[in-house]
Amino acid sequence: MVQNKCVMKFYRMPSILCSAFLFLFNFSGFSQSITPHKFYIGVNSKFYQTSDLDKNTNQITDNKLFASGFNIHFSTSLLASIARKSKKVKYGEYLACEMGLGYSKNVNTIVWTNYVYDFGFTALANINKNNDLKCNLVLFKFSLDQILYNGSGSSLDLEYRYKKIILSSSIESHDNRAVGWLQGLLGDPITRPANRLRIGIDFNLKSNSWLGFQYAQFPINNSLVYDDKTVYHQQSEFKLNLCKRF
Amino acid sequence: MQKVLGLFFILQFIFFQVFSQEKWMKKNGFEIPKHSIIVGYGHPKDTFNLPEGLYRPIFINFRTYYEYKSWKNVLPSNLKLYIFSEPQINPVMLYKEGKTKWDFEFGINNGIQSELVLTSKINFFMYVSSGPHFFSTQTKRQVRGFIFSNSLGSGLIFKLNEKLNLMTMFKIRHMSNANTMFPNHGINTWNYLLGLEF
Repeated sequence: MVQNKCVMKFYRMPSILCSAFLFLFNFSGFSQSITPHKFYIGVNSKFYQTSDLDKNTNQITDNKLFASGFNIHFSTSLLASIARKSKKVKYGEYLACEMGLGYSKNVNTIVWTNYVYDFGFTALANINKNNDLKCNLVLFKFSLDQILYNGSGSSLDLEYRYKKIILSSSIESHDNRAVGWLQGLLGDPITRPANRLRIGIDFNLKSNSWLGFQYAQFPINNSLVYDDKTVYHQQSEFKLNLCKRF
Repeated sequence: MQKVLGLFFILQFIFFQVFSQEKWMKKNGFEIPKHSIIVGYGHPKDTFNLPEGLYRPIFINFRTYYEYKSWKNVLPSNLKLYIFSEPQINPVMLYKEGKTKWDFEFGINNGIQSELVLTSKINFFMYVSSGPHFFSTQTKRQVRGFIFSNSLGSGLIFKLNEKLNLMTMFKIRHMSNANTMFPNHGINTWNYLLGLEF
């Protein structure tokens, strides 16, 4: 007993590190499939550029900005969770939030924070042992990330799992609530610059722990079109995250 | 005197709503695992300032949580889901050019809260809530009186001891009246809150 105590004391880790290890590896007994609940902690980096057009001289001034930080994401669906386990297709409401905190620098150093709140519907099909499919229709998307217009938007998200890999994609609009994603799909991305495309890939590490990588671009089209606007934004974002699905 | 009487009737109405709701919920298979008292401060985003001044609510909320017994069997052990009811009376500071005018708002929000157990002492939560309110501010942006208050929030819960938790949260709030009266441009605030759960 005495020996055990000594060993415990010698190898004792800081509680934050313990929690991180527990979070990553100590959950067991869950399936590796796509589930109604997801939580991830991640790091992200953003590159964005604002271009100002001086209409008198017709000259463009570019401001480039780099930002990086941490983010926490939590999404859940009560109704999809209480659906019987034997059911292959579960559906229900969808609620998600993402909070970010970080640091950015261009001419002046500023604190960089962001949030995204999603509310909509989700459908999840556990097809077989190797295949799952999930679709989120986000009707209201409230976000503030220094780039997109504040206010509500919408998105259509798809996730597909094949064995230990999940591929995900999302088209997102902050132009119009509820049907903005549809306009994003059908409309001309040049004249609708508020559309953002996300793609991602997740690898299963162990049990329900995943390592994910996401890339997002806003707007989808890269060329600068001013029309009646004098300021234009471009953004690309990379995210690396450790994810739990439960 | 009229104001005191008015406040008395408002309080009576809110407490009647809360306690009758509690009885009904208990009858229908819900438990009440906890309550919380929440205070906080709200600030408008620049583009949503009222022309009459900055709309700064001070939140005084009382939240009652309800948990459906059978949810515990189907949800993962580290996830908790609550329905909650949140009556509130919020003094409002309308600030312009060094002068503050005091107004008020009151009402009840009902919502859903998801809570994730991160460690033995820290939980992460998010919620969505909505409900009818009354606000007293005279403004060109929004007609005075009945309004819906809609909130999305998230935060952390720190366990202080077996009976007491400290909660910190950030929420975004939009208030408008669903076009039942005009003008209806809405009032939007960012809000920072602290609470005690017991």
